Amino acid sequence: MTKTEELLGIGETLGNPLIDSWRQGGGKVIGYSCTYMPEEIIHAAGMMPYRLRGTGCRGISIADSYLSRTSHCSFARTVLELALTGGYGFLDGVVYTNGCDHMRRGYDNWKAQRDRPAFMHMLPVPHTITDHGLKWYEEELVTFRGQLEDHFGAKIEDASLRQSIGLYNETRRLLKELYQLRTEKAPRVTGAEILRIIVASTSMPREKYNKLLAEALEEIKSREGTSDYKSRLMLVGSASDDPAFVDLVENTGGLVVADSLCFGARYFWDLEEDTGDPMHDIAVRYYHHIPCPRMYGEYPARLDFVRSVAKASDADGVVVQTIKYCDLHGVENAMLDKSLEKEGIPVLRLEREYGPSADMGRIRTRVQAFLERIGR
Amino acid sequence: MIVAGCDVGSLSAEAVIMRDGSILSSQIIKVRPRPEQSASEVMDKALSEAGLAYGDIDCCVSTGYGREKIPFANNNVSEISCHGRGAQWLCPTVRTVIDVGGQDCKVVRVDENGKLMNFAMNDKCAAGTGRFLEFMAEVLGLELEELGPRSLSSQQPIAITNMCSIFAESEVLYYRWYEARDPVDLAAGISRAMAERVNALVQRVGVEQDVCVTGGVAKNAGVVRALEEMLQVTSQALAVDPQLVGAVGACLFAQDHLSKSGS
Amino acid sequence: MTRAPTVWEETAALLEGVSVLPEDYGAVLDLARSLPPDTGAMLEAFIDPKFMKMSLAAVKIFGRSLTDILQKRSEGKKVVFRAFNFPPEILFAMDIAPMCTEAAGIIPMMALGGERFFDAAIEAGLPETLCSGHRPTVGMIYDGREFKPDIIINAGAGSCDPNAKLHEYMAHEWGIPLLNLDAPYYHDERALDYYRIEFRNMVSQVEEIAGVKLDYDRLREVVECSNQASELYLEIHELKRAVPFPLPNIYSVLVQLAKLVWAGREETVPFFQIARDTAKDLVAKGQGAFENQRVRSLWLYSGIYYDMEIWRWMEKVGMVYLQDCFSWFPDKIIDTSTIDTMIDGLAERTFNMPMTKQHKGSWDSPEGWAEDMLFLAKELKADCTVFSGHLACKQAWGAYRLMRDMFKSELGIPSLRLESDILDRRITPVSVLKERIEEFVSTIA
Repeated sequence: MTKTEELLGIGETLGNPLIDSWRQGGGKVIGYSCTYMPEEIIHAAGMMPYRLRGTGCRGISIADSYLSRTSHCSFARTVLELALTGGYGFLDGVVYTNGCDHMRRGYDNWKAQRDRPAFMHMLPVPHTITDHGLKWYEEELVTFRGQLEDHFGAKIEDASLRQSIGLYNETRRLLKELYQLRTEKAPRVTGAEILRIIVASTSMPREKYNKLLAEALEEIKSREGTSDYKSRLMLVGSASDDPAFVDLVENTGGLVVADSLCFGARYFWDLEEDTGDPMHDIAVRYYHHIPCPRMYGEYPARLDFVRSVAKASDADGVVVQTIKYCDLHGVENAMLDKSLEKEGIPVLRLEREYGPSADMGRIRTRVQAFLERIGR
Repeated sequence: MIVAGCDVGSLSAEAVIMRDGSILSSQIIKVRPRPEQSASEVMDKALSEAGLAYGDIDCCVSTGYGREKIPFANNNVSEISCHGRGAQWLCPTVRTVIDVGGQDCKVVRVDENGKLMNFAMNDKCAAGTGRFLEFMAEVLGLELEELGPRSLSSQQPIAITNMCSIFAESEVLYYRWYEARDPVDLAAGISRAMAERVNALVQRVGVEQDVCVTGGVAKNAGVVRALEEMLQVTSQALAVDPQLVGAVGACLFAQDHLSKSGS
Repeated sequence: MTRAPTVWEETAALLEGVSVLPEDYGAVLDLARSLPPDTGAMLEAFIDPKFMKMSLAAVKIFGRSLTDILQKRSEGKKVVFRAFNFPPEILFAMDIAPMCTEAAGIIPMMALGGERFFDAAIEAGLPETLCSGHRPTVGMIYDGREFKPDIIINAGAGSCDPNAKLHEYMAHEWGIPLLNLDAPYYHDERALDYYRIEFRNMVSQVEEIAGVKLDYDRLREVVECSNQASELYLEIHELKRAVPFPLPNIYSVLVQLAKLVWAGREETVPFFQIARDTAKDLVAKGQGAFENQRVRSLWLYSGIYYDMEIWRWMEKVGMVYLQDCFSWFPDKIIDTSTIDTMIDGLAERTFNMPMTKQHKGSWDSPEGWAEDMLFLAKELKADCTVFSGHLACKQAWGAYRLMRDMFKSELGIPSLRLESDILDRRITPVSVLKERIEEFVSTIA
């Protein structure tokens, strides 16, 4: 197996052998839900951060007696289903942020169970970008660090934090290099591969990941690029950890060459600075990273990012997708649709379901029609 | 140049054969259990009507729900593009196509060449599709084909407000039996309720004249009239059965395909 | 060229006759029947014949508050949209016209009937999963039937995504300055300090954008009025412990209007005085506001507003509407000594507004939803709880099961879940709701 194949396969299942061997060696795994949660803090404690996703969930039944099928997003419901049926048995703890109403209640319902991880923490993030907001956020990170230390008997020193920052910044540099390859006329990597590579980063020990990514990057760089596509697309919208969705888009002929997803560019685009105070550096980086639609008043920054990335990747159109009931992205996408179309950038709005109830046929028709619309 | 278009939907399948830009034959059938079966049957019929064989077709494009499953198609194009293209070819001034089928509803905007500009689609909710009308016809004890013509003579349409078909049924039954209201007025109310749902979709992409209505529901004069009132337009009639528009569009894409490949 | 009246002008005109209504139910019915059917129905629902004085005191504020805003606007004063969970006192004191975003759409919609406005927002591309409380407002503006505000205050950040995001959308779509108030997850001193900073920033920004200055005397006037209303509200709250219950079901709706839409207006004081006197009188006599009270229900979130007749209908089947989450106002009396004490007091008041207080944290946060509702259930001797909400209220639907289980284990009382929207009548017909309520009452009474 090539390094690339190895890397692409890591996220196919919810857990994987690398997590198993980590745990067998006494390592702890902490699940988290959102890019506003600093992985470096968990890493500096000697533990492995793992991002929650819904891979492999067959059907939702138990979760729907807590969250409602007629009000709640299928991502939050899928994650809760896995939580309630032991799917996340390999986690020693979980950290959520108050990212959105759906996930907030997903956390509440999980926490209310008798059978749940002993360590469950809510990291509240401000909804606006201000000076006092940064101060609040940093204080919350310090609290979080303290809780981790207390519960697990770990010690998180500045030196370890600095080391972790270095490691995670290295990931970001590598991923940025990988993303550069997408902007080519004949990209050497597909959108589905990119998503699989990003998902892999959130599901294995980081040191191993960087090494594997660096090796895979060399292999990918030596590939012939592909010109076999009808159009170049940018993907934006709701949390999307599902490569099958991107596969579907690309199989229709739309190569995904760019994104503004939280399992994508928004995850790694910004690096930490080094001001000598690692906790502060982490706080600044995470608070100010490319904002999620939950940050009110930051729409211009997000639009700017989408616009500049779409241009740099020579995208022919932007697909803005929402998981049904996601209002944060749903409203955001209504705004993006108008803003981008006004500038002559074609937009496809897609409302979809995530996980077991995903509705591929409907999406295929719409993506195909969009490609027919923008096709050269 | 002989081309064919095959539209396999979830309720009906259509086939159209064209030679040098004129329609030779067309057929509509109810679908069979599998799309390949529907496609073969409807194409066989169309070929037979035209006195041709499969080998005579220079290019065939498929569309509709089952478009990827048609073995004799050279290519497939979305029903969205096909409806837009077909309608505009049939009526060159058309720029907005409202297709209300048995199970879905779509609004397609095209330019002066029938090229797809924008679209919106509802294929999840029964309200606003033919299914709603079928259901309501049953509730009123009428034939589906009667629903439209009957509703036209209403002087006082009864407003049906429930969005969910299940509750709308109760509402209609209440008016029919408890209040002994005239089925004609109920039919008109149903037409309006339907038109409202369709209109909501239309507004998402906006209207540019001329407008035409395609799909099975285009045959329901009550719904069409109610929609025209809401949009304040007169929809353009098409020279063919409105259910054939998708297949016509597919033919045109087949023609394009041939021209591009220079044969 | 005269333009067509806006929905507010039309509503205000229709309700003109209301402000001169005598305390005579015959006159009420005459007026109701002379108005368009939807307006008439609204009037009949809001005015309880057994409690004419109290009902009229509230209902008369309807038209007047709309006319005031229209008047101020014609004088060139700025109009500010703020969600229901932002009390408007501070804005009154800046001589601008505060408008409750939801009421701006809901009240005209009730008076004029307007499902078509719901759809205008969707046609513009907004998801249909947004709150039906906002879609009429947005729909009316898109429809050209309403003017746009000059400033938008987003008070939903932290407690309600659709609310907050919708305000951001309006600001972006129509190029209106957006002021965000972020309510932090916790409810302690640190969180309140943070919120005070947000609140103060908002005040200075309003001053700057609207070119106005917060006036101490005017603020004092408004806050004193508000304080009076709060005191009376809390007095009435004590009286609500009585069995039988001494207030009509519609009181909960009138209270919400008085505290959420009209807070700070001097007319709210006589309304609360009458309500207090009414309740006091009944309690002294050991009488209930209506006969045959079989079940005392605490509604965990909101009531049903798409068919206002249901409030008196519930009385007929013996269901007492103790109150709901949106009519809970455990106000502190605000210190009026200086501008700063008042601003701080109002910041704290805003921090404790319905929905913000209960839903910005976890379901069982200190001073959160579970704690507040459990407290009220005990205080008011609830026999059961009922849950209804906009389909869009994800934060509420998402914790209902936990609430229901909690009431079962803590108080042993059952809960009824009503699946419908609370404003859009096209989802679940009111007849279905009535069936379920009646069935529920008969099983516990």
